Amino acid sequence: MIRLEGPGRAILELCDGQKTFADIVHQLANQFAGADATVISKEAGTFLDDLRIKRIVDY
Amino acid sequence: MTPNPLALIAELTHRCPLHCVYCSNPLQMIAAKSELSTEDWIRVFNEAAKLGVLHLHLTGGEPLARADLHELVKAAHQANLYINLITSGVGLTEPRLSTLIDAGLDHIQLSFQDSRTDSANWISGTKAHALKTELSKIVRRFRVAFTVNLVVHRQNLDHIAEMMEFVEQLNPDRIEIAHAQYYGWALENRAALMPTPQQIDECMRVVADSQERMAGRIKIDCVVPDYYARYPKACMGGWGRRLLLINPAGEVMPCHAANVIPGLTFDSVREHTLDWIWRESESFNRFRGEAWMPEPCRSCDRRAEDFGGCRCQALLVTGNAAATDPVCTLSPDHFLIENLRSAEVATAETSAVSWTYRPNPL
Repeated sequence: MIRLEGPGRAILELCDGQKTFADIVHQLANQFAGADATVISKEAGTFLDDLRIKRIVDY
Repeated sequence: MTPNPLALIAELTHRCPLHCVYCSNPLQMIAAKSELSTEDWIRVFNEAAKLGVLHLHLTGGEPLARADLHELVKAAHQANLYINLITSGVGLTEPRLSTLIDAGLDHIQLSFQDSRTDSANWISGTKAHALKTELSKIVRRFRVAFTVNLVVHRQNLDHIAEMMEFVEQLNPDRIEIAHAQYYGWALENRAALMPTPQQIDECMRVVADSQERMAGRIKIDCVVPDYYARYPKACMGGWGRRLLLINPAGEVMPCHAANVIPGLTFDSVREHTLDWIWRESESFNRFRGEAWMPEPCRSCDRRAEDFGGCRCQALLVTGNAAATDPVCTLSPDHFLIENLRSAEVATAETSAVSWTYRPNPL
């Protein structure tokens, strides 16, 4: 079991099997107004890759 | 403040078509006629969800031995629980698997005893190996998370690399390399199951290599077995902290082995709500918190990490359930573990394997 903190939950909730990574970054940029899209892309990318290694998500 | 449990281990039955020598079910098993009804279990799942439980493990014995399994899965799914089926696979046809997944099954954990048919069937006392291999192919056609649980010990660790390759090609999402733990039938058979230090080293090496090779594709979980560890495991995530177990008769226990501890009585879901049992029962409160801890645990920096280790193991090895888990190298009783290790391993070379198969309770 993993415990999600902060934006982790927001990112994971956007993983619906349909959205592309670009879609997710775009939605997060809207949700977290004022955040830099490049930073979001990097951090969300790292987060999702960690979850992929744990076999929690696939893409 | 008592935290809410996160997981419920539901031993639906002690009936099982296999006779694995490493089984951790108790020696006194629950008879079929004493099992909880469908309605009882459904009520329990709903109470568990209300108590905060997120993760349900359906196990036994063999949970497939319950004819009402799909009803139980359906009710657990409606209660919003994540459902894991821990199974030998015996009794799981493709139509039945399909029904269970439609009912809401999220995860299936399938056991394997070896890569080699003869050895696997010898360890389980049943000709089940071919069936499990076939079933793995069928599982992959469905949308369900799939873990292969390979139980390892002295009788199969000599070919760990071969076994790892075998389970890899079954293509699960996750592999658990599970060292036998000495409770129940495994404790009876400890002399034949205890690995050698060389086997442990080789196992950890193969696991590390395999984790690298399979990274991103298959997750491999393996922990150093108790008797070879430096510190004890955080058994069950702490007594009465994260997990609860309900046996086939409805007795609620902090873990599957707790019946070995003298003076503990377990309350039944037939008489009490799960909420009351979790919060108020004597058994659940017995080793909660730190007041019960002896030294060195009481002032140890690790006490909030491993909670003093396993109470049942402390009882079984030292005779005192409140002692520091002797697996811990800081325990004054640690020499008992060292003695057991060398005694069991010393007999390894010289004696033929003689062990007790787990019977099927009627």
